Amino acid sequence: MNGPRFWLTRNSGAIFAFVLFVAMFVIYIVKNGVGLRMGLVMAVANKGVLLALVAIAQTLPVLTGGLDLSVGMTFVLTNCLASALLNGPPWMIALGVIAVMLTGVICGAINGALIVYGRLQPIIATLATSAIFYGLALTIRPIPGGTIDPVVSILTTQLFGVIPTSLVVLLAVVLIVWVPFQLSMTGRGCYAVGSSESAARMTGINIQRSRLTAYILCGLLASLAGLLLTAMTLSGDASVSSGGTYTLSSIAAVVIGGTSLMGGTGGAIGSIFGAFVLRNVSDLLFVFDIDPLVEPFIQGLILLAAVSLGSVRVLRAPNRLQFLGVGR
Amino acid sequence: MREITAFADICSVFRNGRHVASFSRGARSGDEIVELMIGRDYKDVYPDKSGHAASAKPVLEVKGLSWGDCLSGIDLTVRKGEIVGLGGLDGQGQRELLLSLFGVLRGLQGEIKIGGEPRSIGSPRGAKRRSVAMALIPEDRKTEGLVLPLTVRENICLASIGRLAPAGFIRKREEKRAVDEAFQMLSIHANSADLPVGTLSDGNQQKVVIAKWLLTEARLILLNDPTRGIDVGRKQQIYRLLRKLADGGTGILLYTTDYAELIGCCDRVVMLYGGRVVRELQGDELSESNILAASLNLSESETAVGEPAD
Repeated sequence: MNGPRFWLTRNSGAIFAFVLFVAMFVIYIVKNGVGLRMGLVMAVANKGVLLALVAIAQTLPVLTGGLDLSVGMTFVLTNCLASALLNGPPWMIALGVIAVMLTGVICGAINGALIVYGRLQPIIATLATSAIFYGLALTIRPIPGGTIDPVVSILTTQLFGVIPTSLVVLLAVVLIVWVPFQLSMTGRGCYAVGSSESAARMTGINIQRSRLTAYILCGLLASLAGLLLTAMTLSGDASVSSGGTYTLSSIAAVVIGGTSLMGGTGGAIGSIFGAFVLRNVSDLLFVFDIDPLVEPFIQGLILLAAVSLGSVRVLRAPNRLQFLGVGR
Repeated sequence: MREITAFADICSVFRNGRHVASFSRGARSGDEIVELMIGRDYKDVYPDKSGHAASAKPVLEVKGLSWGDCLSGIDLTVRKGEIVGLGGLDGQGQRELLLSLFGVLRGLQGEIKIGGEPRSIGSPRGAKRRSVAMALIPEDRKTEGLVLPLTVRENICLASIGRLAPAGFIRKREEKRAVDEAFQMLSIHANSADLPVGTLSDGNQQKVVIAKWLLTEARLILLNDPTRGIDVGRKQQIYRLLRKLADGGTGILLYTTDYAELIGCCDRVVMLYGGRVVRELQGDELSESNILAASLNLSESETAVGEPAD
């Protein structure tokens, strides 16, 4: 096997998610029969970007071999906080945005500290903080609402009249956060820790810093999604179902995008397309006139298909021990 | 090898996945068999010892190192340009000694001096620091030496990543140069540096482990049985490399279970028994019988009789 072929194998999950999304999108546009209208693209983009941001966030802890079950509640908490802070003169709004992002960082840092220094299982630690973040969100916004300056909704319009602003935000996140992360020492450390903690330790990798950074960036990205949600809805809602759905969907998107829950392989690009695939199911159901209630059913099938794609590779491997990390 | 000549009726030699020869027991000498295995003349497996390291400055000095029941009062010196062997039966504290030097074990007693300065090394990361500059080539390359799913390139650069990423971000050009250097230095055989390291042969995997540590420019290299499970030709390459490093001024501490390696490769051998240093052998004292005697902690007179004490 040579380099390019290995690249294909390594990114097969992301490619699968990308092809699936493009196919779904094309079918949707064709079947809809009204052509490539701005309104349609905007709707698809806005729906997808929220989950895509949360899915990128989830990718980082998963790469280190962990998991963040509080990502959805961080998203809800920052949404509620934003709904209380984003009003007044421009400088107040700017300060509010910074405060919201800082809150995301703090949420991530708490998770990271519990896991790295407290040596708690990521699942349990983030399950607990998830409840805590939800409690805080409820305190801030017991009933849905909020007074938000409409200027914030600029994030949900188009740039130059053709490009959805939310997609620009997503692209910016990829370029400003994901690409440097991948090229950084810490990012390489995250992949190493996720693949083999003992080898990473014996190599003198800064394991603690890698893990901590993954969770902090995860919190930060969830808060960006929270800000974007606030801009879209112009309100805050401490909704338990929303938080739970985003957490679980983010994990599903990560898996559909080809990132292994065992850690060490995959990346955020796949997660983005995974998120768009999941979010597009309801649109497809709509144009085919199928009851929208079957959406979770279809999403489950896609998730199973994505996971099975990984097992097909195991079945075809010349040496079956290879995928247990034993043979070569 | 010894087991094959002792037990086998018919021996067959395979090289690079091909059948080379079959013969009945005793038909060929050990050297002839090895020649068949590596496909070329078997001469000078071990490079010449330089022998001028005896007066060099010590790079590692250990005084009274103890750890639990495994190590007690170890004294040890490794000089610049010297290959010091760690001998003894398997499991006499050799591994623990290497791990303790590398900062993996907690609760050590005793003193460790690196380049004449007392240092306390709390982690492999601490051992890698410039002021210590130590490298440990671990026993188990699949779990401790390599991150198997990562590519050859990523593995080669993993230990020296701080040097390749001065501002925290990896410089692609420096990374490529480091990988090219490693490939050349160790003649690693891989179709591409972008393949997962797990696809390489055992010998080449071991070369990647060694390469990744050489790139850290360590002045003291600890090796834990580096030639286990590697074919004879590759072993020879590793011996030559070790000698070349030593000639360049690196101090080397080599633990191996192979007596021939201790005799052929090392300037000096420290024999461990029950977590203690029982004997130090050098020069003409380096013989199989002396090593065997010290391994079993017998005095020389006892071996002469050939009756082990217990």
